[in-house]
Parts: sequence; structure tokens; C-alpha cells
Amino acid sequence: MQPIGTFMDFAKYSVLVVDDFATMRRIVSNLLREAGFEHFSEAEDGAEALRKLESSSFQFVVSDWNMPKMTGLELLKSVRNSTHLKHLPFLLITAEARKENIIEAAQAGADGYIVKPFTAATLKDKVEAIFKRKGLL
Amino acid sequence: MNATASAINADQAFKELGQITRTLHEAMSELGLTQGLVEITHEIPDARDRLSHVGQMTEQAATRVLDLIDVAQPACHRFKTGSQAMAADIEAMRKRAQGRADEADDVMAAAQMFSTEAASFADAQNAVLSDIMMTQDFQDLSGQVIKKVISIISHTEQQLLSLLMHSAPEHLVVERPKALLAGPQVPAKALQQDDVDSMLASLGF
Repeated sequence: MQPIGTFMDFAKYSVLVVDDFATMRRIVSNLLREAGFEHFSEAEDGAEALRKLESSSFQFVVSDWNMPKMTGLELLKSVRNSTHLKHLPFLLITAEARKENIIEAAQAGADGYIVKPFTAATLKDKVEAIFKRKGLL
Repeated sequence: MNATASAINADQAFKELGQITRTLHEAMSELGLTQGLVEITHEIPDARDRLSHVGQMTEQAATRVLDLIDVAQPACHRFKTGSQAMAADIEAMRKRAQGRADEADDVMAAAQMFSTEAASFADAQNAVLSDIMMTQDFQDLSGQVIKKVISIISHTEQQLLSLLMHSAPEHLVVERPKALLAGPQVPAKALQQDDVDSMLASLGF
């Protein structure tokens, strides 16, 4: 079935959605499904996410920033420091919206930065931009 | 500044701090502030419970909406696909028949148009469901604010309690006025309708 309103083939990629709020994990997963993704996994903090990233294969991470145990920024830094994960496309979706945050995220190697609350169109645009830039589409 | 001078300054600072504390303590007792503080420390756990209850209620409501959308969206997708397939089948059949049966072809044309519209309808409903889903993000943002406020309240409570431990007389009896308009209670404290009924019955109603 051709997903509604999309012309990009995301179906072959596995996504890890990381957020400590179940509601937001479901919203993000649902939006990604509407955009054409079919393979999802969820984690409720950075530590759980890192375990999942190390134990199975993902091609994309969408993560919140402010989470207990391990924040999204710490997760991003760990990913960039890992030899086999460092090229993983990483999108931050966060309510932290100060200049310092954005600079910090960019320096840590985020591929995209979405401020909450966000729209479905924003998410789709950023995801497409990241995959195009990475040469994955 | 040498080491001796800074030691003297620290000594003086502590003395002054001690005097300030004593003055504050006396002022608090004179003004009856201690009693006010005790009241506040009793009310804080209640305020915290209520706030976290608000967080739970919004999460439940948001989860319920997301569950319903999870049922409705795949149905829209299936309906759209089915309608598109039917419109295509009818179109192919009409081409093969090449308008031989005029009356049947009119019906078929109408059916084809209807199927096409049904597919658009399913698509539009799916988009509405997506918008409804997006509005549930309030739960994430309000939840974060509530968590933050709860931690501020807990911190304040600890500070107040330690202030009280250092300043309150040992056997302080505080009269707490009963608030009748306390608003909705958290489920653990609220009376259920059955409780209300049996209470009223025991009072002769």
C-alpha cells in the first residue's frame, strides 16, 4: 500500500524513537508511519536507546533531549563517539529551545533539530532533508 | 587578602549570620509565621498529589485518543485502498464494454465516481485523525511543566521543613481551618458515590 502523501521510500529503514513520554513516542511513530516508515522500536531514555542501538540494527534515531538516566544529548554524543554508530542520522525533537541548546546540539553532531510543539509537515520536511543529505534516498 | 584576615572575616560572617537567624526566629514567632509555615507544609503534599493527578488524567485522556486513532487510521487506509481498486475495476470494465449497454454504463459511471470520492473521503478523514493525534502533544508539554513544578514544590517543602525544625517550638499545635471548597480530590482521597450515599443514609437521609 502506498502511504498517503509521500513519494519517498522509507519502508526499508528501521527507526528508534526515544522519549520519556509514551504519548510523544506514539505521536512520533505514527507520524513516521504516515510518512512511509514501517519498522519502529521505542526507548524511554538514552540508556535504553543506546542498548538497543548496540544490540540491533537501526538506520535512524529520533530522540527527545530532556530524559532521565541519559539525556538525548548524551545519547547523541555516545553515538558519535562509537565507531560503528557514528554515521547514524540523528534527529532531536525537544522543548529546549534556547540558542545555547541549538548550538550545543549542532556541535554534538545532530542532523536535525525540531522544537516542540511541532507539526506533521515539519517532521516530514526535516526527515526528508536528513535522508537526502545523507544520500539515503 | 591573607589567610588570617579571611579566617576572621569568616568568623564575623558566622556571628552575623547567627544574629540574623535569631532575629528572624524571634520575628517569626512574634508574627505567628511559624504557624503559617506549619500549615503550608501540611498543604504541600496535598498540592503535589493533586498536580500529579492532573498529569495522570491528561496522560490517560491522551492515551485513549491515541488508541482510538490507532483503530481508525488503518480503517481509513483500508477503505481508501479498497475504493481506489473498485474505481479502477469499474473503469476497466467500462472500457471493455465500450458503452454497449448505455443504461448500465450510466450506473457504472456513477459507481466509478462514487468510489473515487470515497477514496478521497478516506484520505481526508485520515488527515483529520492525524491532526487530532498531533493535538495530543499537549500532554507531553504540560506533563513536563507539571513534573517541573512538582519538583519545585518538593524542594520548597524540604526547605520549609528544615526551617521549621530549627525555629518552631517543640509542641506547636496548629488549628487548621477546614476548607469546604477544596475542589476535586485525588481518587485515593475522594469519596465515591456509594460512600456519599451510605454516609447520607447513616445521617438519616
